[in-house]
Amino acid sequence: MKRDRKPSAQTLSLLGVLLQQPRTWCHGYDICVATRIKSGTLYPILMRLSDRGLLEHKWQESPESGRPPRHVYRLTASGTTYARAQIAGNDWTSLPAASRSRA
Amino acid sequence: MSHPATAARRIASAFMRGAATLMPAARIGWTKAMRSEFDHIENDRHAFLWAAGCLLTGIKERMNSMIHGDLKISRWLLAPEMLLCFAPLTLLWLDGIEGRSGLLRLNGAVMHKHFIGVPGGTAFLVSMIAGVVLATIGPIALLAAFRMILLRMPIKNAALRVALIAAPILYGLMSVTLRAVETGTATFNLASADAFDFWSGIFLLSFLPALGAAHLLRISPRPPGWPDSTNH
Repeated sequence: MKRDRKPSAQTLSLLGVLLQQPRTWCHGYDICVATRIKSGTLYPILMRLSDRGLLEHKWQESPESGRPPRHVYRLTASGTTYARAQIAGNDWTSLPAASRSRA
Repeated sequence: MSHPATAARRIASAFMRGAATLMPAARIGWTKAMRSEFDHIENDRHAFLWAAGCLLTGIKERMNSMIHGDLKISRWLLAPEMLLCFAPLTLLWLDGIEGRSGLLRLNGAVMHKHFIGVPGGTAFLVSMIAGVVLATIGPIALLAAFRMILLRMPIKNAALRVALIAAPILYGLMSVTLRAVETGTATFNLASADAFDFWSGIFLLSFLPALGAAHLLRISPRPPGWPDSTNH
């Protein structure tokens, strides 16, 4: 039986940022800067969302020559629905200021 | 583009290597993702903090895989482990049934001479019978374990799954309680050889079987309708 846990404030913040432009691919570091979530928290959340099919990711060539390709992320269709539902069901003012200002 | 090898950047690179080492194999793609972002961070301080977070992620994921992993090991290792865990309890059960003081030797004369009419004799007899009943889980667990090891038949019976864990724990609790009633605080004085022997027995007859049962149940598929502890 799957438990449907309430997402953490950091997860909500991440979903809020990804939801602003659901069809745009985002880099991990840019998400970190936008949400002010540290990498040690961000990546476990990205992994869990990806495991649940809410997030898709791919490698994208860097536009700058000599730079390694980067891993980019965006919400899947079900991820977008989930994010909207979770954010609507939560008090938006409880989210970190960084993500609130971007909403 | 390579970054100047400052001390902070070198330490950060070491953190990234640590994260890659710690990350479970199933997550190795994520290590590469974190590494590629690291290579794009110009500021050394930010790169250092990023790498520290990645190392933390590696540790978290490793612990997660250890906690929620399937703990599957080779049958050649599982067989001796199960023997080690359940053979002592099985021997105790055998001794309790047909040893010199086993239940099969009980008859009216023995009961009257050693138990009935002797102070505390009835309680001792009851505890002896309860101990043998609880120790029955030893041979049952051995049978279930080797059925799974040799025939790959999982333990599906919910009552058996509970009994495999509960019986050794109850046996241990009962033994410690009786011992504490009998000898008081001396039970916990490990400096005494007697107490040390007692706790060695508890380790072999209660702790190890419970641990072995937990491992056995962990690698055996759960019956339908049981909560799946691997969900996050």
